[in-house]
Amino acid sequence: MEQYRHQNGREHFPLGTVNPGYQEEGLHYYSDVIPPIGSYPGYNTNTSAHIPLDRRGSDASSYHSDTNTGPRHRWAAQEMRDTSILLERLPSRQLERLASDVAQKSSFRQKSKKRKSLHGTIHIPRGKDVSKELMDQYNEDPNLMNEFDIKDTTLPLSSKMRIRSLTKQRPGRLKSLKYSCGIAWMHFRQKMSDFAFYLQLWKGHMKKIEGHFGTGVLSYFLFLQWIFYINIPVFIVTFGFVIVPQLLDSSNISSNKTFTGKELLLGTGWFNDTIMYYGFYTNGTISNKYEMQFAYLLTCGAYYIMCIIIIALSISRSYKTNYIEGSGAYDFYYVTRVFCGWDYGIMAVDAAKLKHKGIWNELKEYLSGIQKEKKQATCGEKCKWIFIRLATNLFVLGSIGGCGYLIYFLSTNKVITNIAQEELKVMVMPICVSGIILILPLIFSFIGQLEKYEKPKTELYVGMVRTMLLKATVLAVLVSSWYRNTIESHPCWETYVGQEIYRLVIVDFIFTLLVTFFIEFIKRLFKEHCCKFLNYPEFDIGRNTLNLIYSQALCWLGTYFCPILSIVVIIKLFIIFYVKRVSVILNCKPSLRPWRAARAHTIFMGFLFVFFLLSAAAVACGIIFIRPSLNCGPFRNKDKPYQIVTDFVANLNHELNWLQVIINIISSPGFIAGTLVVLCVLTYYMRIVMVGHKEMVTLLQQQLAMEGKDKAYLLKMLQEASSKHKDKPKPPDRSRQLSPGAASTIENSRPDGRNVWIVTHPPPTDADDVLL
Amino acid sequence: MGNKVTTFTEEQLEAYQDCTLFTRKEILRLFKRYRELAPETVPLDMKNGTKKVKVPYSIIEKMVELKENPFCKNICEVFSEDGSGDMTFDDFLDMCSVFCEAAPRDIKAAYAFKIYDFDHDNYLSKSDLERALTSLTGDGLTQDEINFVVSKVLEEADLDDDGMLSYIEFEHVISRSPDFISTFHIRF
Repeated sequence: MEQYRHQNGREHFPLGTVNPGYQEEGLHYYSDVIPPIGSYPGYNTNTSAHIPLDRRGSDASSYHSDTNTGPRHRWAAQEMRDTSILLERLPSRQLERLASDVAQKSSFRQKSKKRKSLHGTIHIPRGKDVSKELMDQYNEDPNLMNEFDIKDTTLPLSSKMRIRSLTKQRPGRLKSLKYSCGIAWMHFRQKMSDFAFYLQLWKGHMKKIEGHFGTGVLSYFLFLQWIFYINIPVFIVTFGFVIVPQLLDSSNISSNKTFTGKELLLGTGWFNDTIMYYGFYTNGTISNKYEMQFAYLLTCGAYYIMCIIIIALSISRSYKTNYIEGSGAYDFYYVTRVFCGWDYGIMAVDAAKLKHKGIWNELKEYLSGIQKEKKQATCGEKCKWIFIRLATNLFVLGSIGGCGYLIYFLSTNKVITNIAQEELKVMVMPICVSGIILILPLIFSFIGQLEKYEKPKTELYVGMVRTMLLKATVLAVLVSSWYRNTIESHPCWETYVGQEIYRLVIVDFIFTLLVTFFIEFIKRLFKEHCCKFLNYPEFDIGRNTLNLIYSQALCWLGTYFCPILSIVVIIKLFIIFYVKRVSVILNCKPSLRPWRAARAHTIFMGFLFVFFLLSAAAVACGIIFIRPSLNCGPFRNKDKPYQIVTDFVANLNHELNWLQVIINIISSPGFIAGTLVVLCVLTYYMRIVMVGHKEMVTLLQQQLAMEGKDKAYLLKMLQEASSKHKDKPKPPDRSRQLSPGAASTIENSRPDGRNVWIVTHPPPTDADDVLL
Repeated sequence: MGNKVTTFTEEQLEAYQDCTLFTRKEILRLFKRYRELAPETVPLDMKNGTKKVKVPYSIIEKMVELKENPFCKNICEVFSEDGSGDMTFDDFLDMCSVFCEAAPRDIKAAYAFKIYDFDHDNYLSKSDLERALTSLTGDGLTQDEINFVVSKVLEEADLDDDGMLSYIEFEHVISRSPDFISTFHIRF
């Protein structure tokens, strides 16, 4: 009781201002007797209830307890003091219930498909003792236990615990076995998640970074962590199926070279005769059972398939949350700024100040942008911008082409092969590539500033696309030069390619460290000690993340030629994480520019996916079309590595005819074309459905707005009428039938409620005419 | 290690596990964190129930995760069961559970709504929005600009044109903002 009195005091609308008809119900509600749960419409119709969000007692519940009974005469006897109060009590104001009703109806439809959607969220007023009612519900309908998860409620924890303790005493009679299985499964899952708790890397660091820099910079580190994680299964697969069997092979040739240390950088010498490179693997059968050729090829296929599944899943999830669910009729700019503007993870004072300032800046910019938009750009200005952008794009494309040619030149020209010193000879190419990849993006971002895009977002994305185009070009030129030129000039060209990629990875790593050191650390030293005019370095999320994608693309490209590359990349990422973490905390200042981490993540995933496809395609080309070296590697006596598959299928011809037929059908052009056509049709169908839904949403939104206006209009009329006819009694629940949606949520709703709602146009002479 | 095991009974821990999104390890870690706030008031032995022990608001608001948050006071009030801002361990765990990564979007949205509802009337009225905006930007914006932004927010989100946002309208827009999940998140 004490609690309710407390709530009463906190009521937004003091009971006194409400007309007595309501007041009586209010008293009923606030008395000791807690209203039976059945009076909540949600509970009657559905297994889970959707009680509006109230903090400390509310009008909403009291409103509903008076739908069935109600001293009508009293209601009419009182003058309506305030339309707004009546409006407040209207069913449609309790839109929550309406929507949950709709949502649950649809989820019933999907019941068989997706059981979980049935749970809904139970929103229950805070500070009320509702566990008893929920408990009663359980007793009435033991299935409820399955239907919703107590975790998915907004009850305070203590109430949840009470409900839990109450329900625990009486498990479902028939389903006890099912429950015990479920509980065992739950315990197993808890054990697993306990275990996963230990596996979570870098938790504290993440917290610290987020506290200082917010979600933007954190997204880089999360991306790094994610890439780190996806490399682990790749490594486990290659290690388990390729490296270990090769190590067990008795016909190991011991290396005659010694390990000096510089091999770590060059990847040559001693490493050549180890499991590091393709050339070392045997083409024989290990322990008379394990065919190395198949193992090598199938493992390679397996990890590409594994990667494509992981990436496709996470990209589709990210795309779904950010673009499909997020795309409505409107772009909620201001809502997002106000409700999602604050980064709850921020813990540092400086970061908080900057965040305040950042939000302020952004709003200001946007406000001024609105004013600017009003004046149209003149034709001359437009032409000028088109010309400038044309020129910059031509320059960018030209420089990308130039870089591609430079690399091609280096790979074919004799300049390099004439260099006497072996170390220098092999290091020229990776240093050039890494240098290009480091410097050109900086130039691109400078050019991007010249172009003066209206939105900083456009500038950012254009810069990213250019950078990735450059990286893709560089890699493509490298791959084509390997496939064309090295085949003749090296006795074991796969090993050489593996070495090249290894060197690229290492040099990229060194460059990353150097850039972190010079750009971030030295700049801060300068800022602090001599050049005060410099700004503190900011952490460039876009550039750093794109570098990660490039490094991962190298890994995917090289794993076929250098099976151990994934562990090298894992170590590299591990070190980079710590270096970047220390550097960012020590040297950098958070940026004022907002970073939309969620959307950018989808873009990054898109780039990663494209790069994955490109590198997988490059490797697939190598396997299918290029002749392997004659004297080394698992495919040494074959025309093409892929030949082992075709041979295998051909051998099957005698034994398993049907498999042969199936494979022939699947690989026939007609089948592939058919599949493509079906996929296209499906995509088109989905798109049409999506467009239709969008239009429907707009229509419904308009309808909803109209309804709200109608309701206000009718209410005004009602008020006028009631002030005219004070002596005529009117039933209170009329007003609740003013909107059809609301009527459907109330029990005993009158069938004529719908008609009443439609009649809105004629200005009433007598209110009763309109209402009846 | 011995301490950790005896803070809660096995049943208590199980109940917490069933009612929150945390594992046993995390619950114990969070209890440690909770106890660090006020070592004198919070006993190590919680087997006799967690209801009586409360950490006052004055200490909670100084927590490093909350002290810079412009909505700190609202958060504490929303999660404290008696509305005062003082927190029992249950309340504290509740808060961590809502802000943790695994919490579903609609739970987060429901609590976000409560947090932004300054006057506790279950609607986000103009004054709520103004106060939220002022807390966010400091005192940088002029009254005109604030009014403009508030009217724009209402324009975007207010479906039934009544000049304020009900929960369902709030949830409608929040579910379309991909940033919400990533920003409404505290690592405790």
